[in-house]
Amino acid sequence: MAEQLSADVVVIGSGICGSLAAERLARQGIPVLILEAGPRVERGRLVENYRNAAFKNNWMAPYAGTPWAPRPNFIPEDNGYLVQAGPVPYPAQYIRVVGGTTWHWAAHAWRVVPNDFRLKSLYGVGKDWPISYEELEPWYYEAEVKIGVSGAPNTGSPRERPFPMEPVAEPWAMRRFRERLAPGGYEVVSNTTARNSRSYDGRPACCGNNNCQPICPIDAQYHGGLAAEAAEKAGAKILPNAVVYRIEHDARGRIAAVHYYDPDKGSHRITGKAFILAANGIESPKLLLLSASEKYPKGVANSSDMVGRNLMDHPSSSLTFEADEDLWLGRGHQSPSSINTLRDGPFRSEHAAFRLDFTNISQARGAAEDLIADGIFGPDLVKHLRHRAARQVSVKDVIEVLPNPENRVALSSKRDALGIPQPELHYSYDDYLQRGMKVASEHYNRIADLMGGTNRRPSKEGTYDNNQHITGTMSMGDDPNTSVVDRFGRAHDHENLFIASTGVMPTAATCNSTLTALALALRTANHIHQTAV
Amino acid sequence: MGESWPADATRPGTTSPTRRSVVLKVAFAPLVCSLKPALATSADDPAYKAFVSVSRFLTGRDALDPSLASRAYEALSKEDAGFGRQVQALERLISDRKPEPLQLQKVLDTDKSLLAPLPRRIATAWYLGVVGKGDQARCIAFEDNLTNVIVGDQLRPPSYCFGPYGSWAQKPM
Repeated sequence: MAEQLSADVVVIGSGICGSLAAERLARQGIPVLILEAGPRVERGRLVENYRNAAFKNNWMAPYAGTPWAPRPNFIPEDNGYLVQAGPVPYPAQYIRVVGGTTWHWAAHAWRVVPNDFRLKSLYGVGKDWPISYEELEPWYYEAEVKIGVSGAPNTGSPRERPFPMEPVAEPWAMRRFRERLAPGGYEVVSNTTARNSRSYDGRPACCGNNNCQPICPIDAQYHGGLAAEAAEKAGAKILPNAVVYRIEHDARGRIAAVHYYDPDKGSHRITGKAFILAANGIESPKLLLLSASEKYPKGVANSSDMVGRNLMDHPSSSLTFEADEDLWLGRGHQSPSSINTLRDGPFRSEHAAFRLDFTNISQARGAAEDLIADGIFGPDLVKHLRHRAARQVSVKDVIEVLPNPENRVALSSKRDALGIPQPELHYSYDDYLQRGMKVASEHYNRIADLMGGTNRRPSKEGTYDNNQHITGTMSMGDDPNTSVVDRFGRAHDHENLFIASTGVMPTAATCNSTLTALALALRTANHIHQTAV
Repeated sequence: MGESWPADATRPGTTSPTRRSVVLKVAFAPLVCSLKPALATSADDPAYKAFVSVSRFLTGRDALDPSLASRAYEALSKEDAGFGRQVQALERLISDRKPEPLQLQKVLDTDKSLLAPLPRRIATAWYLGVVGKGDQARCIAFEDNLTNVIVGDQLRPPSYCFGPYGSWAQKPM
């Protein structure tokens, strides 16, 4: 039974970008409807799910997928939702619920550095962005105030106004890294995060639950659930369990409507004046490709053939070792400190740049698993567990991947329960990246030297962890032949279709992507208000 | 180490009634992991007594929480109906051959013993609070599993409040 619902602005996806773009427009009096594939979730239930989970290291476990909005899961085994075409796997994790994936993140809220926008002109690799850091700066600030960002000065990103909050109190373990690495020329700084160092916006300061991922029990860190709540408070409507499967255009190429399935596969059509696609960097291009028509055989917004292409993320290698003093990771928030001085420089013409990140996630459970796996029992198990919990530490990189059109999201031949094609990922690592990884490894060992590091266990060579910063798949640019959206996030092919996503970023840069995507999304929402409704 | 963790994972002073009610739900949500009532297990049951004795040997702890012991025993028996027999056999092996705990696994592996998986299953139940593998894995203990208890003087179980803001900046005792 097809209903005729409509709104001036229809948003596909209720994650942090979609919800805060919606909130901005709603506050300006514009009727907004947000369609979310997944269900509503509730923080108390998520915490309970975590505490009852068998695989505590599976951060997806508290967020069970639904048959109508399946999501990738890899522990205890790959659920096969993402089809991996290779040559290397791209095991992205994301959540399809009201609020989206930032229900669970480490809340890193970095700005890129200015030179990230000009990789091609400065270093001869990658691409230039169609906008400058200066143009994005006020939107970065608006985003920081909205979500409550705490940060240290002088981390490479210029700013007009101070951070909304001071950095979160430094855990002892991170202080020791900072003190012992300084003589080696390493500057360890507090991370820029959407985490409260004081009460902010009606939410408490951090109290060190050490559970940022998969769920902060107290909302001391911002997340998409709060964004969705804010959007509804501003008057936007959220329709959960609404799986958009087609974007419909008219004869002139304007987007006329979107079609969604409810969990019983009943189909519904929603009309609007302007549409914002904000369904993450994989589900969004999937939907564009799915919406191919006679007029747009390569998919909606895809006359460039760039939709889904230039898939980038930040792979990580790491070194785990034992420091020569008791540090006790697990006291405080999960990701407090990093080294930011290796993100830019002339070397970027030769090898990838990166941040270096120090984990503060408790090592106790992992140590127990390792010791039991090694057959260590009895009093030695107790002794070694305490020793490792006290001294085991880890450093990793967050390294830049260059855009490569062969790395992409496509439609597989597998279909989910609603009959919608599942995403197929094509991904690879190039020499530029591998050279960067080699340099990072050298730094890991120097850092371990400075910490008296023993029992060094590097991550497996050539195999990297993924960071779920899904970028590039709907890149912005001035040239409609080589990009999907313009500098304001408007699709080149459809004047009333906009994209709010990490997927519009034409390069991955060397920091976590959320704040940049959010700044762009707020700028896009403002542009919609001025030009499209 | 017997005191309870701070019951609510929040800080005082939240003003929003909606948030407070969610907070209360967090504080008093039934912790299925830890509070599921253990089925009645007779302390005289020889298989159960063998399990407790083997558990002491493997965990390196003489004092074991009796409610977690009976919960672990029930879960392990449910996972494998032969568990009671196997754990008695393991107890006999340990008392006959007197291996050091560090050597036990090697002895079982060298013998290609059918009991070889048992020590890891038992230690995993106690230290990680998990019984079963793959999709059958279940959490039977979290806050009071041995890992969290053993480091409990320094760390809280994840998702529980460490302390007042900034308390993690202090040097560990």
